[in-house]
Amino acid sequence: MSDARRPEFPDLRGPVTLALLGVLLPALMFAGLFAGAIPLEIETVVNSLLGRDGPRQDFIVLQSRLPRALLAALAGGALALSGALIQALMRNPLASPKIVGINSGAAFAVLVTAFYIPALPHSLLPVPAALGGLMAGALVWWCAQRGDIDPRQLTLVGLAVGLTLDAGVDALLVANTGPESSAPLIWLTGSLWGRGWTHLASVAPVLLTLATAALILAFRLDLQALGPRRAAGLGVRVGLERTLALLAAVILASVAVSVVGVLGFVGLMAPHVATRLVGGRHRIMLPTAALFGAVLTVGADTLGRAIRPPLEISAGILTALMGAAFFIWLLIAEDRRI
Amino acid sequence: MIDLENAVAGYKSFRLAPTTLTFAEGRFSALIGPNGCGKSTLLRMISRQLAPLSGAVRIGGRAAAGLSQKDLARRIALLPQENIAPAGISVADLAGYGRAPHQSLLGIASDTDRAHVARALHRMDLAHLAQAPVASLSGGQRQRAFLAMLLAQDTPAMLFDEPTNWLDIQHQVQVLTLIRSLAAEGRTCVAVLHDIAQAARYADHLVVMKDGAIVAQGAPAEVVTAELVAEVYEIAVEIHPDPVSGTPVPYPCRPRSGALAAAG
Amino acid sequence: MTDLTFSRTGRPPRIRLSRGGMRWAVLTCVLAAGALASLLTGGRDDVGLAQLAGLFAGEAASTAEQTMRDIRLPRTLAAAGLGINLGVAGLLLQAVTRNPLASPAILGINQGAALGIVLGLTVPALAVAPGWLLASVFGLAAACLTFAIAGLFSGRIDSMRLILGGVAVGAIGFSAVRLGYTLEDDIAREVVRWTVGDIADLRIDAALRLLAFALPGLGLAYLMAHRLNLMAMGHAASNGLGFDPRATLVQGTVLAALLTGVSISVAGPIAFVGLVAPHIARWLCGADHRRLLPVVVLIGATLTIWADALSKLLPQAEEAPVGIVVAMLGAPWLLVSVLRRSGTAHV
Repeated sequence: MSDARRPEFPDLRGPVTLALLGVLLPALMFAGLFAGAIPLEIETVVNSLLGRDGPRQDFIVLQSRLPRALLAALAGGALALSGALIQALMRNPLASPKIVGINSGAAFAVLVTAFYIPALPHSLLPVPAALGGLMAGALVWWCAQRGDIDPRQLTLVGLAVGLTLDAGVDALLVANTGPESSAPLIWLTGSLWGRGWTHLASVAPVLLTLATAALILAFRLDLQALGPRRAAGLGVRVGLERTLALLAAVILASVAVSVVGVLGFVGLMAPHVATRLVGGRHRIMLPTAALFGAVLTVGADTLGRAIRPPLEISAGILTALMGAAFFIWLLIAEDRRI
Repeated sequence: MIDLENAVAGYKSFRLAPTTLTFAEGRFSALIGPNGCGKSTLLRMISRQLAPLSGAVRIGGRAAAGLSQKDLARRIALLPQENIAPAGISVADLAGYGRAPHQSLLGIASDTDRAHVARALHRMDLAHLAQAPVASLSGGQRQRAFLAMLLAQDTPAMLFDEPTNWLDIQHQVQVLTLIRSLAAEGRTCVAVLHDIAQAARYADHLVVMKDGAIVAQGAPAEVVTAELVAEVYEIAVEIHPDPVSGTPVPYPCRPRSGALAAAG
Repeated sequence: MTDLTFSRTGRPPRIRLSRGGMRWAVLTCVLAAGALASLLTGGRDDVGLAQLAGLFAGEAASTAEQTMRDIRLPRTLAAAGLGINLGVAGLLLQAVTRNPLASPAILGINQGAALGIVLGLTVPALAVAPGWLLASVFGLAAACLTFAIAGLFSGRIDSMRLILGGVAVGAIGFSAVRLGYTLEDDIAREVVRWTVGDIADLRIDAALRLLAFALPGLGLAYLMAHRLNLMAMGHAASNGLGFDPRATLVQGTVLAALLTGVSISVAGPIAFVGLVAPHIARWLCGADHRRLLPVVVLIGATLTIWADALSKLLPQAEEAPVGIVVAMLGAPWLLVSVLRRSGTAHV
């Protein structure tokens, strides 16, 4: 090591931010256990959690709100990771799972199922949603493949596929306005209403595995960011790694959307917020984005239930409002700092 | 050492002629020629960014085609003309990426890695800017940061595509001197340069290209002649020795007619 | 591609009537066919070619002729006006932000306008104002907010901040609208219909308003065309060429916002045209904005007019709103053009 160097302040932004978010998340999840159509006391909640004697509301706390909070965190984190992966691959800051057509594919599949296969119980809607998202993502990938997965190409193809599917969704909505359209509509805005342990169990393994893989391999995204030529020069098999990353992004988002509906804004904003908070190295940025996405979604779900019970405002609405407001604040603060 | 044997590469619109060439170890070879003559294409073929359409490229005696991407990256490194600087990272981070071929998939830096990075930053005069964001650097400083990344990659063969772009004279000389010292360490160094005089002064071996083919190669004193410059660059020059190093320097002749003549 | 004949004085290249001329002719025919289709279809069966011809003859005597004059013709003109305004707005935004994803929707205007409509339906104090006014005012307010966030007023504006600011403002507007549905169930249907974009009720005043903006808008855009070409080379190069890219960014965006605002105020948000028409235009005739502008005008008008025609021709009791049909027409086009381009060798 060179001798004449001043001791530098290590960059503590990353660890500090992660720590703060790491504390905020469980706190919000805990708060989520009180809020809802029937507001509960702390004592009641704690009794139910720990199995103690005294006033309890086991069903509400353990069967309804706890899995819901966990699911919100997981879905929010998955969407944020998906967004970060897609933005890194496409090198376009406007990119998001929406851009790869996932949200649109899932929405289209759900609506088709809801309107034309009414026999399917609503609890099974995640299946066509996941399939729709995956198929849209696969279609985008296949179309872009012909041009060597160039980021610009991928972006444009994703946009075209997404918009076509969106038009399909609009057409279905207009053609089928009626009482049975309200449930899918609510689902479309992104909501955790009625989600329980079965939902969590069906998506947790996939999401946790992929999320772990993405976090461990975060460094590869740093190399991708140098551009395909330089990355190849550093030993990266660009085509292969990009395909795998895209696949992971599509699956993470599709599965998350299949269970909580469209929370598109999370995937778009979380990576931006994370970069502005902790910098661009993906080893720190990815976990920050995931935690931010989780915090945003849990917070939105909790707030949506707490504002005006028994009315429940969809999490999707609030994630967009809160995420956008926070992001605007960041943009302006950055302005003032310089 | 890099060997080309009847290697042909190119795009739909442009193709190199079959090339047989050797770049020896311990030598600084410079590729010169007019714009569009194929210098960068040749570099890309050597570094396997462009697959040869026929013929063979061998690096250190082994066929380049048979090497895995990572093995290739441990033997040969290329600094492209245009470098994309990712957002939100520091100079030390960027230099650290150069160690990727020597690391596992996870990219965990060992002490050796850190030592290489520190040496690279020091050699490129960037030690004091190690924690600075790459986005805040000037064009010249950024070029040096990418050079530091290349140095950290520490390969036996190093290729440079116009490395002196964006640099002021002090840093141009530093880079060219750096490449010479890298060659003196036993590495195979190949650089595309656009300045004939600089190429003649710092390189041991010149390769002159035109329209995708090699027109001449050899020691600068033999290669840089008025006839060659006239044939390749289509401009009349006189060759005079550099007052400091004695290497040939082309000076454009006074034009005989036209607007340029009036300007002198 | 058309051969370019660059005149030595640097005036815009003249299009040689070879392949380029063919494309113009084809485009114009498609547009004319669409216009005819739009004018000749509709609720009444007795309004057709004869009535159209009769319009030029003189006074509209029968109700059929009046229908042609007062309902069909304005609607078709309005469709054309929408297509032109939105197409030009989209082209401007993609040029000044150098991003192919840019479109009028990115400034948050659509969502702001929708919020205005929702407020008009839910807030008693605002219920007196006409829908189009609320849409314009709130839409432009959203655009101003986007500009403010992007640093326009502090002088630090750049295209990335503009896009991101617009996305943020758009998200707020969108969520506020959805929040409105949650709090007041019955407005949802009405707002959804408005959101999808509909021109069925447009009359001559709307058509004239659109064209009144389209013509000067097009003129101003044409004056900027050369600078838009130069913008593509990046800020540094632009500065070196002696014009301020920031000023062009601001002017282009403001003009795009105005053109979008008037379109929304008339027909609701039809976001797709502004995104797709420039892509198709670029695919057809390259990157020179002096040629792109007239082409995007043709394509935008063609898209919306055909969408209008199809929305009337589709065999359903209730017409599909034009916004949906535009999207369904345009998206496959975009896909095809993108796929075609992917086949070229990349260097």
